[in-house]
Amino acid sequence: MSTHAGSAAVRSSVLRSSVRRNPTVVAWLALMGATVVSWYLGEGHGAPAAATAGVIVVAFFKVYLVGRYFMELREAPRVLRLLFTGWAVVVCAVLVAMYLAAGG
Amino acid sequence: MTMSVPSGMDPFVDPFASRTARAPQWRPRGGGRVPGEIGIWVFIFGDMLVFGLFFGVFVHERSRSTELFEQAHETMNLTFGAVNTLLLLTGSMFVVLGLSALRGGASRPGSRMILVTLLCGAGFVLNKYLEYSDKIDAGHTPSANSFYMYYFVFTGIHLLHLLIGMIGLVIMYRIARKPVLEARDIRNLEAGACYWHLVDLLWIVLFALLYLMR
Repeated sequence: MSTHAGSAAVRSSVLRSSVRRNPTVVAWLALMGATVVSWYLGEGHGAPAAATAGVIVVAFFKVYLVGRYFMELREAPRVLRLLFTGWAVVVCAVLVAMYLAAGG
Repeated sequence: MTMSVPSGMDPFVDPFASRTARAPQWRPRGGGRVPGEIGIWVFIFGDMLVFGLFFGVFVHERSRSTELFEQAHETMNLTFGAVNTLLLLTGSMFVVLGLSALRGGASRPGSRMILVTLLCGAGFVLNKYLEYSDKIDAGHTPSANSFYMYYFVFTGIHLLHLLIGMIGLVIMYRIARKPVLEARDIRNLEAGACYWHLVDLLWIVLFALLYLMR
């Protein structure tokens, strides 16, 4: 019985903290917002070259948020953070450069 | 040279007998905690490199036949891709919240949140099935043109990753239902969660390249 009460207490505290400023929930809101922005850009709004470059940059910013807040890399050893962020920055830069070099 | 035996230690007792058979956790210098185990990160970075190559090949091929890719892009339904992105992001958030509940000892809400993620994954598969059927009915098969060849190959490989991730979620659910979680259980849950987030982040880039690039 006491375990059940303890579990209920933890449960309510988890729910309360998720409603408040839980970084996970804030990151999720940012990711959902970024998805809607890139959806808007991909649907034909804005100049194609700028919109596509924007879409790719937004996508890798989302990747960064997933790594930092969902994969818990913000608490991870520096080497993991550097490898992850390095991959995101390099792949993003190469893709945008290839796209723009081809004339957009 | 003489060996000194510390007082209180019996020299005839195997000093390693009480040690667990598990390999010690790898701890790099500079502090911090490795989510899951380092093995899962070797796999994650390997997979990210392979997909990085896929992304590069796609953009390169697109620059070689821009007109064809633009025409093919006109036939894509963005809603399918966007809904799947929202499903994966929501599922990922529930894995994180579930893991945090399980670390706090709240087995029931923790395992339920893993179930919600599993439902999001099932929603993704259903949506993908509808999308593939829609495409094939309209004659957009892998052999139709190079855009659709890449579309089916990349989303197919991603779908395979997602199905493996769902098997991982079922295992995580079973672990989460245990009355008491050991440190090893938490590490396995973290490793499964990191793999699920990998599925999420690869889709984020595939969504941008296949559905949104114009």
